[in-house]
Amino acid sequence: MAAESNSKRRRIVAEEDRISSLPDCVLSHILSFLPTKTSVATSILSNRWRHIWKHVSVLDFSDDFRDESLFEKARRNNKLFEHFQNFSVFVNRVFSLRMPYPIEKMSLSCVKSLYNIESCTSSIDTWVCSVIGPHLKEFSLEIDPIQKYQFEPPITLFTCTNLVSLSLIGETGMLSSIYIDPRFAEEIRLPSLNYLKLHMNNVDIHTMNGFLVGCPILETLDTRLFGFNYKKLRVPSTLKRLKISSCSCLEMDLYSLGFDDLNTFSDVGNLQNVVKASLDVFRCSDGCYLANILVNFFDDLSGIKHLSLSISTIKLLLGDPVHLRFPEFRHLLHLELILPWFNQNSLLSLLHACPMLQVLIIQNDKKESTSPEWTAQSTVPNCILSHLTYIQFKGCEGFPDELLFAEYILQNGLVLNKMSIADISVDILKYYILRRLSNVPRASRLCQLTFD
Amino acid sequence: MASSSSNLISLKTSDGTVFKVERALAKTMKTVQAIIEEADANIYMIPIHNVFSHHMDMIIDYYKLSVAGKSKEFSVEKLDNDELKDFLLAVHYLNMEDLFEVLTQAVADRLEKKSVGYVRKYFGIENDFTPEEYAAIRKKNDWAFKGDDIEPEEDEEKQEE
Repeated sequence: MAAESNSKRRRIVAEEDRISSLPDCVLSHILSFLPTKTSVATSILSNRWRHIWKHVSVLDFSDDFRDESLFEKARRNNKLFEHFQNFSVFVNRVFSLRMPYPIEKMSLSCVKSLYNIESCTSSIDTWVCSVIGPHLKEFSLEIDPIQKYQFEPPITLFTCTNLVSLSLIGETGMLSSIYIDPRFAEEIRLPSLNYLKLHMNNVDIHTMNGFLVGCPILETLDTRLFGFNYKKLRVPSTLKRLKISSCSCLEMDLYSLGFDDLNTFSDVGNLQNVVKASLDVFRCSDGCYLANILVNFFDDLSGIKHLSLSISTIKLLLGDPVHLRFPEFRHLLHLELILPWFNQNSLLSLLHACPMLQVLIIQNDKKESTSPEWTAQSTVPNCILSHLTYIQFKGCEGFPDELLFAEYILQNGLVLNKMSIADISVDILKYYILRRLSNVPRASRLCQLTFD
Repeated sequence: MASSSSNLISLKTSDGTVFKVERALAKTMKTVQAIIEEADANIYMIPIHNVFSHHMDMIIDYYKLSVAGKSKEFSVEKLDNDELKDFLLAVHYLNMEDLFEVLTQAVADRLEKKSVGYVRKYFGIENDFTPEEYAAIRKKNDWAFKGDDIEPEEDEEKQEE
């Protein structure tokens, strides 16, 4: 009995020591990783914790509801504006009560409760303006679009000397809730910016160039481009990661380009340092022009090592007309493709163009199926012979040409370590494929065949 | 017999184990670095209080991963809450910036969306508010407590007493 109470006492003492050995600055540092709502809630833990949240230099506000059902309920009862008002009071309280240290990171997300446009606008404007300053390092704003409402960030946001990461998200379908005044384009100066994310439907090429010129050390760019117009896009040589999606309204812009304009595409410079890219390009009706642009674009990505292409991009690259010239991806090591159909001929032609490829991941989207005939290849693609170590095939349907392709790889892959077949829902199919592929003589003795 | 040109530094943990680590690793520990710089003669062995050998093992793991560019693979999931706190204290004492960030983020992840009672237990915090004070704070920061599992588990606390 005595021993038990002794150990309990020792445990309590040990726990107390633990708290006192964590200084306030460590505790507030921990809080800086949590949403502000949670961090303020810690004021209720004890007297010591009452004011710790006030020392945090990071703000993360979101008007999100705990779950969808609460949101639906509020919407049905017309309580969304009330929700925003409460949210607004909370945000203002935090701004007023916290220690007057400058904010280093700010994240604001208003996606659920923007309702009464005027009062919401001025609130958001106030909050954004109060954090802009030389100490601001990361800024993220997400606003759900509402008809006729556009938030215009002040120019001072685009001249923050120490801003390292900027993210503006404001689009749904054709609407855009954030608007950047095109007159700001020449004045953009973000010398420390490393990461830029612009998800708005209305960024034009002029503004985009304004960003690219004004951000000399930009490494990651994640954006939509209004119109697939790469004319004179000046990409800084430091760019390492590029993510572009293009909405389907690019059709209009393309027709406005005369044939001569396509030649000026060579003005896109400095893409050779991009190492990793993910491309999602929607098809427009005149696939020929767009496909050529794509090919030229790939030529500019001469240093690319890791490439991921969406369905629509593949359709453009591998599709009609099928005999499109493939660019050669001399340094490409890792390729991920989402295939709209399985065409082993074009797939092998693509592999011919990637002599150093080590990893190939293909996903069959099952939306369409064609089964053109398997034509024997005269030479085996170089990557299969000497570099390909891992291939993953998701969504295999068991079509004859798919299996022939898999067999081809197994038979010719001299350095293949692993072939992984994944996501086959039907067990009988799995068994059939397993049996068939296991019997294929493998060129590489180390090769494993796995099913997930 | 450590000479000044040796690349290895000897660190002695609280439980008496001696670790010979590369100078580059010792440099990431600002506390240790300060001791080395202040010493006139060559230091033979540096004692590091509050740091146990299992902490050093993890620190060396992290260092190896970060040198290989795989620092994202470092995980503290297998540590329970107490072990994580102890480790955080050790790293804080050694003043290791990167690893400290990783660990504070890990602690924050474990606290996110948890109730007040859970957080109290996690840090071993005693509720020293009077019921009136408690109610007043809750009311003032009302929005912070809206709609989430922040409800204090009063029954649970009474049981502990």
